[in-house]
Amino acid sequence: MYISILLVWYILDYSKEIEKVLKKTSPQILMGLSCQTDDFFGKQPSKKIGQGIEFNHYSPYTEGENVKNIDWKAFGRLEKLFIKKFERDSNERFLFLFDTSKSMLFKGSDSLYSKLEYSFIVAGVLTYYLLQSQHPIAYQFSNYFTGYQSDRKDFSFFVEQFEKLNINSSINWEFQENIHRKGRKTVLIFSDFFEDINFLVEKIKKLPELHSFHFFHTIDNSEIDLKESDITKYVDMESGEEIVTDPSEIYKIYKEEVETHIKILKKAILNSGFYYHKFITNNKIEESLMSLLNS
Amino acid sequence: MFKFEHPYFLFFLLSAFILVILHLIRKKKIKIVYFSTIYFLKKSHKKISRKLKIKQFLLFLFRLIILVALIFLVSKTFLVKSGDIISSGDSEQSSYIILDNRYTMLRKNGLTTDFEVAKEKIVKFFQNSSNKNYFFFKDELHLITSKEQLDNFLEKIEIQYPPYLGNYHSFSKNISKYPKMSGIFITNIISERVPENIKVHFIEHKKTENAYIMNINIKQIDSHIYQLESDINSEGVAFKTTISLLKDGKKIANKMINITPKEKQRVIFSFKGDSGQYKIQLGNDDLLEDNSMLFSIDKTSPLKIVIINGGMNPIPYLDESFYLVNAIESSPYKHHWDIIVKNEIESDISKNYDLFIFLDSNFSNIDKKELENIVYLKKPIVLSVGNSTNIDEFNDFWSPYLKWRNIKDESTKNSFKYISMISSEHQIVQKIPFIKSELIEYPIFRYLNFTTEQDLTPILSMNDGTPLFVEKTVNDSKWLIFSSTLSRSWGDLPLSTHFAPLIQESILYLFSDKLTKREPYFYSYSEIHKFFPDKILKPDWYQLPNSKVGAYNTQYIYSQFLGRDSKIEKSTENSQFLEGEEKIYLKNWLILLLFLVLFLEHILDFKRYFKN
Repeated sequence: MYISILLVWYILDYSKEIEKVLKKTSPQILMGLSCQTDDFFGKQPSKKIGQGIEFNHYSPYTEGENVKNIDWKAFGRLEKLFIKKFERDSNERFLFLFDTSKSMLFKGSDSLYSKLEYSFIVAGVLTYYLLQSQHPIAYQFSNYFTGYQSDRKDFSFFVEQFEKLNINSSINWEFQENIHRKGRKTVLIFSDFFEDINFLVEKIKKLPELHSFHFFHTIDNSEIDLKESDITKYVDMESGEEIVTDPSEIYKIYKEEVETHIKILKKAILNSGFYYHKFITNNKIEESLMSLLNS
Repeated sequence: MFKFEHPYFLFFLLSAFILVILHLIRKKKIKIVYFSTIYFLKKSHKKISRKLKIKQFLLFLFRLIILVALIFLVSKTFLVKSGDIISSGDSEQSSYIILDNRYTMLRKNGLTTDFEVAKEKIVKFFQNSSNKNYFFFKDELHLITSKEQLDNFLEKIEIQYPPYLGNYHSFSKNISKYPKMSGIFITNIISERVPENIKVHFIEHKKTENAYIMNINIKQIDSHIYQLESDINSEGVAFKTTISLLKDGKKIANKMINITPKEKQRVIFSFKGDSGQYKIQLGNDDLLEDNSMLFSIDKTSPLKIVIINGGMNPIPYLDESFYLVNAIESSPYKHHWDIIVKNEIESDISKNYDLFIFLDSNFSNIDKKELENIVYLKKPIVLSVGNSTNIDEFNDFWSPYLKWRNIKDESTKNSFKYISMISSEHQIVQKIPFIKSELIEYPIFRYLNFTTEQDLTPILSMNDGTPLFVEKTVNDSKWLIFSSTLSRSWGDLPLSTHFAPLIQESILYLFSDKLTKREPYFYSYSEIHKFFPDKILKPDWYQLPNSKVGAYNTQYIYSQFLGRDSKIEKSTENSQFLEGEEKIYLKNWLILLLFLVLFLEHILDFKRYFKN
């Protein structure tokens, strides 16, 4: 089983798969990450204020604009509402963080890709657009960190990283070391987040608010709705643990459990001011990416 | 207690046992799924693990019950309700009893017979029943209102021939007059389908030592020696018994035989005997009635033939009677023919003998009156001309009776003659094979010329057409006359291979009607029954067409026709075949259980179907 999964993963031509998705998407999807391409630059404020974001100018407040950006000091002085306009740091760094645990190799019977493959293709597409906007990008898999690559014109370097990857561990929550050094960053975390929810919440709470975190919750439908109807032996892909159970009996409770897990996770992420994106691997990648715009 | 009509299906219970063993020891071959994490599965499973275990156990139990119920269903399981009461079916409905009174009911049942046991059962049935009940007797139903009435009927019913049930056809026809009533037929043998509305109360015997004599064949070997061949059949169990031959009630021969079921056994008795009543009897078996056959050897005295030889020669080969006696003695009928040779016509000779053969007319003493008696009492005569000293003597002696004259004595010394022309139409000649081709060889040297006579029927003629052996009817007496003598100086006829058959067939021809009665004669059973109407000599097993005899193992018959005719099976399903017990078939209950368990199994597994 492992062998077959690994085989599928290894033979997958990521470049080709990414190109396929690129044809069906546009750079606008980056707006979902609260960053802008050159075309839209300056038209949308950053949701986060902090180091690395420079003040540009004031503009009179118009109805519908975010009241958070009103300069109240200026209001005190001038009794007029002004909105601070910031200039985004065109060199905003993006860190892609991948959960490379064995559970990410799970591929539902209805899915074209495993969760990891799905994540890589999504990351590849985003990388392409971000490189076009000349953002420095870094990948981190477990303990391996690529370093920020700013002068690369194409994503082949990153694709290579997928291909030489070792599947072994889950998210390296110690990645903060890599983000503390050089100012504000956008961190994109790809994982199924199948870990103890308390642990996850704890970790999320400790994430620095300075950075913008996007949690790409990659999950297969069959992990939410059990497909099996007869008594089945389930083998944990990570620990090798086994359980024999009757899915027809437990599927409702199971679904509730998983949904509660997702709900708590989502709540923890949003409460911390971060972004939650649920990517169902059964859906088409381009559709999932386009959904970023609605998030 | 459960009982089964087809217990061999219970072997399939082994499969249920294997299922249990497998369930206990073997790991189930279940689907393996590699899952991202079993964290949530474990958590969910923990919550309902107890419920799951119970469900699994119940499912296993239900499936086991389904299997066992199916096996019980095909094994035709029934419950035995002990007691002696015969169920009359619907308690609200009146019913009638039919008692089998065929001879099979005489089978031993302990110290009594099945017939008596059946009668006791009927009494109990009427005692325990509060409904209107009838008794089927002589093609009609009779309402039984009191015990006295019942006793009266039961007393009237005896084992008899033919049984009051008649044959099966008339029995079912009579019964069909009461289609709405339920009947109970008490019997110990069933070989035909009974009407639907009749339950059969079967008096069953598991082991039956029964044998019966199928047929007998008696041959007479010598004058007083007989050989009896008898075929013994059996359908019961193997056992040893004796077979005896009795004459007028006294045992004259006895043999021990091993009876092998379903195997015809031939017993041969050779015995010296004379006329009288004989009986062949099988020893002890389970039938109360003697298992015997009667036969009789005829008392009629043999046909008496007298040869009257007028001119005897002490040298045998020169004596005509020598050839004749030898020819007659070689007959297969010799035991029925007493031959005596005389040389004169004695007084009372006409009364004492049935057939007269005259060889020579040169009698030393002639009782003319006796001769007339012979002729006028229409006794048959074979006449050889004999070596009469002269033709005139012959003419003088026989002319008054034969009514012919001027027969000339002719010699063939100058013109050689031989037998050539055969009258093929005559009955005597027709029965002798190859006579046409072989008699031609024998020359005739001297003969009396009968050619002038017209009222003759030639049997053998010579090559020029001159009659040699003729038939003549005189005063309604049949005369067979040779124109030549049996003396060697007259011709070679006695040396012919066909001479003896010619003489034997001639006697048979003259006595054709009487001879048949003189063959060994054995009465048929119906005749014996006619002769001895008070005593039934052979039980009649053949009341129902195609039925086996009562000596058959009834279980064997039953299984045989069950397999043969599904219609019969249908009828027997509703029938009861127990001795003193009532069968309660669990078919409907088992089907109900099966459906119930299947339903429960589906309910339990409902979620799975729903999920799918």
